[in-house]
Amino acid sequence: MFMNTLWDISAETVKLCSSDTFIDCPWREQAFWLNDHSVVNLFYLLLTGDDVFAAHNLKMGADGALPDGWIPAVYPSARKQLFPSMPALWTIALADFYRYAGRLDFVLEMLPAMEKALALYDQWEKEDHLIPDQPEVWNFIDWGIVSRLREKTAVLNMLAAAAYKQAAGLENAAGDKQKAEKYLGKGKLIVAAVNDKLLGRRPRLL
Amino acid sequence: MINYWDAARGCYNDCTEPVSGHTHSQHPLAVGLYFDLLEGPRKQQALDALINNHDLIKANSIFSIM
Repeated sequence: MFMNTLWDISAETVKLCSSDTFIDCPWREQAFWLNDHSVVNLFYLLLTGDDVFAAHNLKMGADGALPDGWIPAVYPSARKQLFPSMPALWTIALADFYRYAGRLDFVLEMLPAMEKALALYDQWEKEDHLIPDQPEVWNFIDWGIVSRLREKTAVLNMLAAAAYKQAAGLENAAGDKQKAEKYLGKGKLIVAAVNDKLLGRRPRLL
Repeated sequence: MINYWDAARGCYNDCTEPVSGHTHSQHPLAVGLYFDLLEGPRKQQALDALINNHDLIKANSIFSIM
């Protein structure tokens, strides 16, 4: 009974948050937050199997990318809001789209945006293979997670590693084995660096 | 009708504010397991940390069904 109620609430939430784009909530901001999109995109595809609206939202993110490839956290918006996690989250959403919709044509159209966004991590990466939080932007991951310290956080780096792995899968599907290998290697270096440098004092935690 | 706006705090009641300072988080472990990024003993350690550490699970529970 509880699970049925939970399912109904969740499905209704996705329905109400599917407007011109996905929106964060139907009663307040009604904004297309692309970090939230990485989650609702997956739920929407699982619930509906509809690739048209899902593709539209991904394309909106690519269309909103800045000249350097940074996909904004909210778009369209008069306010420029940038999260360092966005290259990773949008890449993960694109991989989810391919996994559930199977549309390689759309993936091929989006790959340049993905590659440009992920290239930001190349620029930001330090000698230890970790990606630091970025100055002058909101290093937001989730409420309750803090990265105000302008340091290196495990969660951002694990998201980047996950994105590299997903990107490798997409490049493989596109037939570019060289790029796939490159992304796989980058992801493994980050995971190794996280395990080596960012283990917390509490056992087993990052 | 629930009053979502808390004028005294200047924010909505369904939002939480981030805490200050270093935090340890389950998120990296969850990401690592979900995307199968961890190998060897680290994978089991991550799983143990996620399912055995109830105080962290409680601390990270932000929203509740009313």
